Amino acid sequence: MNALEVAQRQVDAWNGHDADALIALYAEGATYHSPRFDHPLKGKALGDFLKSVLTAFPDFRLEVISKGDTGGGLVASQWVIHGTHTGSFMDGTPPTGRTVAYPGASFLQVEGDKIQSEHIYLDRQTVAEQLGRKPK
Amino acid sequence: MLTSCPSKDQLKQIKSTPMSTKLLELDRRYFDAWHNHDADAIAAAFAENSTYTHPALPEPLVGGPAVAEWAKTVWTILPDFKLDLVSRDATENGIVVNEWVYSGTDTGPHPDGTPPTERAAKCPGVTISQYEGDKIRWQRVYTDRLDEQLQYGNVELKQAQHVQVGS
Repeated sequence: MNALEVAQRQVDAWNGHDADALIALYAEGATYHSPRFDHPLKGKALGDFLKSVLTAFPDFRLEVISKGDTGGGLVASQWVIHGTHTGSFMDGTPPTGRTVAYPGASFLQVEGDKIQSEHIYLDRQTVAEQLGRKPK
Repeated sequence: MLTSCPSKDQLKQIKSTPMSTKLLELDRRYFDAWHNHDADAIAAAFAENSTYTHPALPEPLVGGPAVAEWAKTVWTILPDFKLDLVSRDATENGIVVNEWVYSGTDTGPHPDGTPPTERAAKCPGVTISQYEGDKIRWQRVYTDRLDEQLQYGNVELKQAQHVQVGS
C-alpha cells in the first residue's frame, strides 16, 4: 500500500465513522500535532481524541479538496470538515447544536501501511466563530 | 549508516521531475516576494481570475493585484514582516505545498483604526498553491489566528482556552 492509499483509508475511516479503523492506521508511537494541543498526542490520548471528534460530530464528514504525495511517504492534503456539534467533546464542552464547515491542511508521514505522524494546520478562531464561542 | 531502503531525501530525488523543479523555483520566487515586501512580484505571480484564500479574509481575493494589496496591508501593520521557510514540496498534480513561520511586530497602523499592540509574533502556517503554466491558479493559506491573537496580546490565554473547543 502506498502513502496515498493509506491517506485515502484514513479519509474513508473518518467518513465511515469507524474509530477503530482510524486508530489502527496509526503506528505505535505515532504522533499527532495540532494547534489544539501544546504537545503532540500519541497512544491512548490520540485514540481518545479521534473518538471524541466522532462523538462530538456524529455526522462528521471530511471533504478532501486536494491530496498529493510529495515524496518519501509524505502526503499533503487540504480539506473541509463538515459536521453538526450534537455531542460532547472530551473536554466536556457541551453540544452547541451548530453546524460547522471549517478548512484545514494536514501532512501525513507514512511508513509502510501506517501513519507515523500527522501535522494539522487549522484556524481555531474560525472553529470557535462557527460554534458561536466568544471570548469571555 | 548502511541501509537497504532509500532515505527520504533520496526518495524525493527519485521523484523529482523537470516540472516539479520548475514549480518549486516559481514558488521560491513567490515566497521571496512576500519575504522581501515586493508587491509587484506578488501581483505578477497569479493568473487572471485566480483566487487567494486566507482565514483572515471573509471572502477569497480574486487576481494578483488584490493579493498584492493584501500583502501591502500586512506589511503596513507588520513593517518587519518576514517569512522563514520550513519545507517546500511539489506533488504530482501541479500543487506546491510550503510550510513556513512568519514573524512580525505589530507597530503599524491598522486599516480599521485599531492601535498597534507593539508586540511581536511568530506563527506557523502552510500555503498550498495550484500552478497552471507559470502562474498560480489558486492559493490557500492555513494558519491559526487564535495563536496570532494570543501573541499580539489581543486575546488573553484564559479567553483563548474558553473559545477553543475539542481539546
